[in-house]
Amino acid sequence: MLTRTMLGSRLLAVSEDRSAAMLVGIRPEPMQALAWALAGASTGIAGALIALFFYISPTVGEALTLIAFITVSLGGFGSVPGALIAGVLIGVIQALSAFWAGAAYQDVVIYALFLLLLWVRPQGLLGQA
Amino acid sequence: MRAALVVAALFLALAAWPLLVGDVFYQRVGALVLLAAISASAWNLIGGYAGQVSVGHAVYFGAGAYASLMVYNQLGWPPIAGAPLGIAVSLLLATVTGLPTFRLRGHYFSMATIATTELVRLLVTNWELLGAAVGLMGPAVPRSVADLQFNDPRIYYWIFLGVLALLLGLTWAMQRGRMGYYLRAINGSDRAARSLGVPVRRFKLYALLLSATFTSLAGTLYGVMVGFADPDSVLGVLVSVKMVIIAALGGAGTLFGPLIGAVILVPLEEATNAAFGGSGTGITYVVYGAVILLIARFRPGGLAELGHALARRVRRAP
Amino acid sequence: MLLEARGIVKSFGAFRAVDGADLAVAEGDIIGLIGPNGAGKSTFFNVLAGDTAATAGTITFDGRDITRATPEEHAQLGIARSFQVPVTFEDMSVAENVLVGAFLRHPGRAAAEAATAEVLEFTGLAPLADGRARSLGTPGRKRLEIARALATEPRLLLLDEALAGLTPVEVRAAIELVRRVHARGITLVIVEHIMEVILTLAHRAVVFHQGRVIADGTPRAVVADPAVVSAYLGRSMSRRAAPR
Repeated sequence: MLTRTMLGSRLLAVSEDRSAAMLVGIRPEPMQALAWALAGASTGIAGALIALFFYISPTVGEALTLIAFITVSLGGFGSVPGALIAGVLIGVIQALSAFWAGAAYQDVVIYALFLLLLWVRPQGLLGQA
Repeated sequence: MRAALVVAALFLALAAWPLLVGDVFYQRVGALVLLAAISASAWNLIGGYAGQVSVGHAVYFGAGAYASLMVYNQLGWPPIAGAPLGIAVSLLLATVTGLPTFRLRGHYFSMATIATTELVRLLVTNWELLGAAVGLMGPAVPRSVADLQFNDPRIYYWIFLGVLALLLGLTWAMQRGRMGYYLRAINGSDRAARSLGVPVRRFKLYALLLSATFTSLAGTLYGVMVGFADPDSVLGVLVSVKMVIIAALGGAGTLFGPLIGAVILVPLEEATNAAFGGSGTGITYVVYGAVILLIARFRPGGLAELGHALARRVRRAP
Repeated sequence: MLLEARGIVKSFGAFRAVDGADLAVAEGDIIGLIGPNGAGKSTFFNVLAGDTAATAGTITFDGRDITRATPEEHAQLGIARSFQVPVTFEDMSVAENVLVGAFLRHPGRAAAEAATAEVLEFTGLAPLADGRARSLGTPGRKRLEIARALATEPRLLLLDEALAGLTPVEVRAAIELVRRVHARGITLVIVEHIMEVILTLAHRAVVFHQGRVIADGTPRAVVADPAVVSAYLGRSMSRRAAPR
């Protein structure tokens, strides 16, 4: 949708430069609302899926929010394949560190990895410098 | 000159307040207001003036609180003696978070502050030396006056007021000098500030270090007064969010904004906690959420901006 | 030479926005950088200001290598700039905007304020000093950027289209200001679209086309240069596609 449709181009244009997009006739508010809606809907689907095998509590999403941001920055902001690859990578690292270091430390490893990433490659794996 | 008199009168009134209120509960709330004002004013240095929004200041607060209780438990020192240790740890953590992120644009700094705080919270939760999930206790009975254990909350109130006065005095001096203008310029535009020779990364770091120092001191004072710390009460995300909300409510980047925010929000929080009892801890989130929505919708500049707008209108009217 | 850039290349991926450009600026010069849209002059300008790092080439200022220097080091050495789209500190007053610049040479507030007052007077902004920067229009903002840059007491001032978007009357006032800035002993490099400005102000014009310098000489000579004429008018469908 982002790279092959007119709608996607408009969305990316607003993200790139809000006022330039307005100059070519794109209203930014609907585009931003659309981005929020798409992101919310996809996260909702993920939430429904996670309920199949995970315990649920009112704050279940709290830790996942930060992990999601870390995943996207690891993959590179705005990179679709980057998010996919990083998502798989983070999942594997979490599972391995839960196995080797104990479940309590699985997120510790991820946070430490994120802080390290900021030092060495802030643009992420597939992001542009 | 007139402003100086107003400020002096305000502080005298604040100092006299617990003498006028007999109820110990209100005196205690007063002390908590001032403590919240100290940490929110400290947050204001980096989050308000420099515009670098930290959502992880709990890590400095927690470092201060844990340091006070740890020197008591491990070395038998009075808790207040943990202040330098807490500050040292906070400065280290601030440097580790700030150095890599201050050269980046976007939300990296905010996210790094959350990640650092969560990282530390999880480590502390699993660290026996720091009491793990159970937490640490302070002295049950004072061994000497150095333990600063008083039944009268007014003494804490005046200690906190002294620290707050020191912090606000420092902030005032900074605001008037080069650093204050540099931080506001950085907040306005990183790029333009650099073109004028402002060493942006260095000044962001100065602001963060100063901010972390006083937040840590607030944590130590909390440890001394409450005599208890566990991961949720001093390192939880709510502790960080509270500082942001208090500063934003009163007016981020203004001298007295955080104090005003604390005067409004802390009693509100204590009242809801008292009204709903033990089951009401979740209500705090509701209050915070409502405050965030109201500020975002109506007054992005906080109450200080509202005050200025009203003052302008009054002045314009003959 | 005060400023000397040699063999500057700036690539974005496979695209070379600046492709081996040279520029020499002597103390006291007013140099005009001109060229059609997309010629690479703004990119070159940003490389000179230290805003983006050159892919290849060297830049020296007063004999010192500044190729890899940061924007704040540029300011410290005495190179100031304005932005194509003004970037003023919106929530600060006009005087406070200038004060930020003045603190570079005067760390104490009293001295910085004195320097600010002088610059505000010089640029004609003194009557607007207490207003917020956000209340200024485009001419005011461009003037404020020049004032702020002057407050850093530069030896070289880089102006990026400081006169674009102004009305003819405003342009004349701005030209007058630039002349007086030069009279203070400040060397100037200006990027400009308006030919009138280059012809009246510049001692020398340097013409960019497709990332290269295609002409370098007095404004009159350069404007008559067939290579320059064809670069501007050329096979001119491209010109019509991107009017300015």
